[in-house]
Amino acid sequence: MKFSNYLSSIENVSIYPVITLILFFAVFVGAVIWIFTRDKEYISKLENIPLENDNFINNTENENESN
Amino acid sequence: MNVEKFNYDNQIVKLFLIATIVWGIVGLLVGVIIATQLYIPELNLGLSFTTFGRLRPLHTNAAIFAFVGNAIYTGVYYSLQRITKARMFSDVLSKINFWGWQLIIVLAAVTLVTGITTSKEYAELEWPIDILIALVWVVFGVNMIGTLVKRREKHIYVAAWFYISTFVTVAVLHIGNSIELPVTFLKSYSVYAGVQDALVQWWYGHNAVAFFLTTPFLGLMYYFLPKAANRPIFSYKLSILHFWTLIFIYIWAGPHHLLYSAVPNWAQSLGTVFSIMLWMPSWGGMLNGLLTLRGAWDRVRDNPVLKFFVIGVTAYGMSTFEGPMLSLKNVNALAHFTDWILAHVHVGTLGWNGFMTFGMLYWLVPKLWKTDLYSKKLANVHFWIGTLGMVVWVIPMWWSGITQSLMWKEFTPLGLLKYPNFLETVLQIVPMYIMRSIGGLLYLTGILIASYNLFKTMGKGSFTAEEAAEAAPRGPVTEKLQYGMIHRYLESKAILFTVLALVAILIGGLVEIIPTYLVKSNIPTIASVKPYTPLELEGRDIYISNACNSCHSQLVRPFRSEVERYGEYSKAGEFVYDHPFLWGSKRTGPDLHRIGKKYSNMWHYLHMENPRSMSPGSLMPPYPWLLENKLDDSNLKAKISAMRTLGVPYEEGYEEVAHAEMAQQAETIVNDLLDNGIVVEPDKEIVALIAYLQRLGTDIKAEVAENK
Repeated sequence: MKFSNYLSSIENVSIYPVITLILFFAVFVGAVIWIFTRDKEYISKLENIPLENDNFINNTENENESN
Repeated sequence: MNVEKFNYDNQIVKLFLIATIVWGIVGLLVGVIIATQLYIPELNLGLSFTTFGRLRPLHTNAAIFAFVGNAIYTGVYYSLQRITKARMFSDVLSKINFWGWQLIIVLAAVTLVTGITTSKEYAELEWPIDILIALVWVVFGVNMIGTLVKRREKHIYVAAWFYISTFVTVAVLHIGNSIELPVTFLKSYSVYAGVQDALVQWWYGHNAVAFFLTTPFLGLMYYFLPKAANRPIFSYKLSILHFWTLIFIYIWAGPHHLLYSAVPNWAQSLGTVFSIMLWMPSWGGMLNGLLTLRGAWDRVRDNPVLKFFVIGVTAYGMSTFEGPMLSLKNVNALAHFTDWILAHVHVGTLGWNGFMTFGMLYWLVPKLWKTDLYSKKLANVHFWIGTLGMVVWVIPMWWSGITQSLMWKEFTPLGLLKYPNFLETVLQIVPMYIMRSIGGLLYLTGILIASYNLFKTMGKGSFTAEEAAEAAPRGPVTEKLQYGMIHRYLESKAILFTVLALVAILIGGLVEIIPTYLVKSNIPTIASVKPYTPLELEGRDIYISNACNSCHSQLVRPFRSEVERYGEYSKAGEFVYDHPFLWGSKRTGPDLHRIGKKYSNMWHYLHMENPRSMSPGSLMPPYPWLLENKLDDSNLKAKISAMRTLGVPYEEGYEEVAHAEMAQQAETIVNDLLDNGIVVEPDKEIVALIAYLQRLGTDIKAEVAENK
C-alpha cells in the first residue's frame, strides 16, 4: 500500500497545509508590521540595555521615564 | 529619586561556570574514547559498561545536557540579572536548579553505562530521572519568569525572549516525548509505537537541537557579543523578526530526520519545506551577530573573546545552511545514516555551542574575579588548536560519509552490488575514523588549556559572591494602549509573553503531532505481523540495554541498493508493536531490519562471542557477557501486561503461560545450537537475543509466502 493512502484517509487533511500557511504568514506579517512601526528612540533604548552600567544608575533616560 | 539597593547573585553563576568546565572535559573525553573505539574496539577493556553502545549516549548526554546545559545556566543566571536589574527571583530555586541538574547528570552517567535506557536518542534516561528533569526544569523556569516579573528594568531585552522560549519549548518537548508506561522502577515502554514513536521522537530530537542548542545560545549571543564588543547589536529589529520566525518554523521541521522512512509522505514533505524555510531566520541571527562587529574587526584580532564568538557564529551559519540542504530528499538519501550527519552535528556543537561557551567563559571569569585573563597567549593557543581540531574532525567525516554512502549504492554493470559486504565499506573509511579521533583529541586539548587558564585567572583574582548594585524601581506601566503599542504592552508582561510563546510553539507541535495519532488507526494492518513472543520481548530489551541501535538501524529505505542489500523495504505496518521504535539514526554496522532467518543461530552465537570470527576485520566489539549472563525474566509478567495496556494484543491471562512458552522457545534454540556443537544453557541472555534477531523483519516474509 502506498503511503499517500494515509493522507487521503485522514479526514479533511488538506486543511492542515492551509492552516500552516495562514498561521505562518500572519505571524510573519504581524512581526514585520510591528517592527516597521517602532520609533528609533524606543529601539535604541532596548538595544542598549546590555551596555548600561550594571551596578549604578547612569541612565538619565530611564529616570525621566519612570517619573 | 527613589533608588533601590540590591545584590547580584554571582555565587550561582560561579557554580554553573565551574560545572561547565568540568563536564565539558568529561563529555569531550568520552567523545575521544568512543571515536577511538570505532577503530580499536578492544578499548572497551572487555566490559559492558565501557562498550561503544553504552558510551555513545553517555557522550551525547554529557555534551548536550551537562556541558552545554551548564553553560546555558551560567550565561542565563549572569545576564538575566543584569538585563532585568534584579537579583534572581529566589536563591533557593537557584540552588535547587544547580544541585538538581548535577544530580541528574550523575544519575544519567550511572544508568546509561549500566544499560538502563529507553533507547530514544537524547532522551535515553528512564522515567524517574525524566520526572526529576521536568521538576528541575520547571524550577529554572519559575526562577527566570519570577525574575522577569520583579525586574526593575522596564523593557525586556531580546535575550530574555530567547530564554523564555527555551524554557517553554523544552518543557513541552521533554514531557511529550517522555510519556512512557513504567514496568518497574527502572524500566518503561514508550506509549507510542513504531511510526508514531519515530515522529514524536524526532519532533523532540530536532527541537532539542533547536531549543536547547540554538535559542538559548542566540540569547547568550545577544547579550555577550554586544558586551564583549562594547556596542549594541547590529539590528534590534532583525533580532525580533528572526526570533518569531525561528520559533514558529523550527517546531515543524522534525520529520526531516525520517525521510524515505515508513513515515507518511506528507509528514516528510512538511519537514522538508519548513527546514528550507528555516534557513532564513537562522541566517538572520548569524548576520546580526557578525554585523555587530562591522567596523570593529581590528578588535577581533587581539581579543580572544571576540575571536571565539566570530568562529562560533560562523559555525552556526554553516550548520544552519547545511541543515536545510540535508533535508532535501535527494541529499538526505545520500547522507542519512552516514558520518555526514555527525559532521553536521559537530559543526554545531563544537563550533557554535563550544566556541560561544569558551568566548563567554573567557569574558566572564575575569569579570567575576575582577582581574585580567591569566594568559591571553594561552587563550589564543586554545582558539587555534580548537579550530584546527574542528577542521580535522569535520572534514574527514564529510569525506567518509559521502564515500561510504556511494559505496553502499554502487552497482556493477551486471546489476549486482559492487560492495555486497558491508564491512568492505567500513574498512574503507577507517583512516577517516583515525583522523576524526585526532581532531577530537586536539579539541579536548583546547579545553584542557582553557581550564588551566581560567582556573589560574580565578586564582589571581578575588571573587565577590554578592555584587552590589542599585537601580530605580520599575513604576507602574503608565502608558496606555494608545497608538499601536500592543506589543510593547505585551512585552512588558513577562507571563503573558510566555503564554504567547507557548501558543506559538504548540500550534506547530500540534499540527505536526495530531495527524500522527490519526495515522495510528490508518496504518494498513499487515495480518501476518504478530506481537513478539515472551523470549523475543526479553531479547529486544537486551538489544535496547546494550544500545545496539547506536550502530545499527532497523529501517530499510525503498532504494534499489538497500532492497538488494538487505531485503524488502520497511513498511509502517511492521512496527505497530514496537514500543519503542528502534529505527536508529546511524549505520556504523549494517541495517538489521531483515536480519531474521538470514544467518543460523550458531552464526549469531559465535558472532556475539567474537564478531571477527564470523566477519574477519569487523569493528564491532565482542559481547561475551551475553553468553555468560543469566536472563533476568523476573519482570516478564509485568512487561506483557504493560504491553497489553499499550494496545499489543496479548490475550488475557497470557502472563501465566508466558514463562512456559519462553522456556519452550529457548529450548528449540538451545537444541539447534547443540546440534552444531555449541553447549549453552537456555536461560542465558544470548538465547533471548538470538530469538529476537531471528524474528526481526520476518513476519512480512510469511505474508509474501502466503500470497504466492
